[in-house]
Amino acid sequence: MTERVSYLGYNIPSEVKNMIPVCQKFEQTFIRDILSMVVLYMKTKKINLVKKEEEDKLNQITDSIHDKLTVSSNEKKVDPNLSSIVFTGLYYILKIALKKKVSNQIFVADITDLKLPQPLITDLTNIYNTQGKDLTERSNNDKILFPQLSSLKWRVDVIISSSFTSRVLNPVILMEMNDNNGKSKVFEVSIDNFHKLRYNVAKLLKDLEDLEQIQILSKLENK
Amino acid sequence: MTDNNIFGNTKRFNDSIELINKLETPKFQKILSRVVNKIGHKSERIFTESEESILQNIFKITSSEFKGILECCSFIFEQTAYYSLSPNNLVNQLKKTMLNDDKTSCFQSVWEDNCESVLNFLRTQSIAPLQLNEVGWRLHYQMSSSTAIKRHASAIMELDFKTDNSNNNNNNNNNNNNNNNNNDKMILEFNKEQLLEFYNKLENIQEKLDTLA
Repeated sequence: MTERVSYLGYNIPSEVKNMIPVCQKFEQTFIRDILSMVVLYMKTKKINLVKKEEEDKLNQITDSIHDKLTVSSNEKKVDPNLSSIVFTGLYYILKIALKKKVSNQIFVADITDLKLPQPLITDLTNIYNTQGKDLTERSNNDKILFPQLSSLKWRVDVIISSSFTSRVLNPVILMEMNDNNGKSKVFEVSIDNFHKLRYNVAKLLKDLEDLEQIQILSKLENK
Repeated sequence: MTDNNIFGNTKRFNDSIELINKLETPKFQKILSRVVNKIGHKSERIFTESEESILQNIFKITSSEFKGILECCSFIFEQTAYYSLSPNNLVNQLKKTMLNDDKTSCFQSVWEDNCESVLNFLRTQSIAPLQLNEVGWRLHYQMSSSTAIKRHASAIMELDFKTDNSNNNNNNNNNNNNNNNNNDKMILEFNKEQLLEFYNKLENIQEKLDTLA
């Protein structure tokens, strides 16, 4: 049987290494609290904080986590830095497992190799089994993106006459585009420019579809 | 005596007509062709300052008289363009003013040569503050990232706009430094479904345009 390298990598990250001795000393209930805080943090943290409320909520949660950690540490006469180390270590264990999409068995096997206290191992595996899908989905939606088109309104006008010349009879298009960030633009598109736009979008769409035909990319997907 | 003179009968107009009548015809024709090329282009100078002073010396007129003459010629052409007069109709209208016949034929020949291009230009003039100018795009295939796990394709489009500066100059002089980059372009990202939706909307617009034609 060939030896398999742990999902954490050949060299276990220092954040996790530092956590192990500390974990042995802490009480189980305390570690469970920290673990639930880790999960809460993972659920609210996003890179793409579009709305102000989300940002405020994240700040609120991080502040409350910080307070809870310091308060509980003081209650149990434990150095707050140590509890932060435990927080970081647990966060890393879960984050790397989710990113690499390890199966449940591998997760359990590698965690046991780390020689963490048994209750902690059971807690971690429970969380990975139940919340794993939810957390993966969240991080899939948390992409770094340019603003996206949220709405496009348009109308076609025919200019009958203008102050420059009294007989025009040319069509022209008026568009309003809104994007995710709230930016809004109302602008006029002449017929020539409209054809340019339409051609470019069609070409882009065709190239996108051609991309899907490339064999090597679909093989990458299946890996 | 109330003929419908599209040029009106103001004193300023008539004074400029008198001045024009005194100019030499061949040189006047050259001035006219310059003037006609500039109508519709707001705020562009017809002659540079040095050219103006040279012309004033040749014709032996003051600068205010020269400006008056230029304005009068521009006015005549603008009215002609507005009513889309043929060269013959222009001659008829000019006969109702006090312009000499040789100058009238100058106007006629210059208008004959240029009326197509001038009218086409004016028809495409727009007063919208923002117009679509250029479209650029990139197709990306995201292989990996620190947050998302799945690979996906994304299309990025950049739409450049042209602002109508002549009206905004006074209002925006203070804002210009901050907003210059924001006002003139829009960057959008699409995945496959969004791009398809956008494309379908553009197809709808095209359908409506086809029914017009």
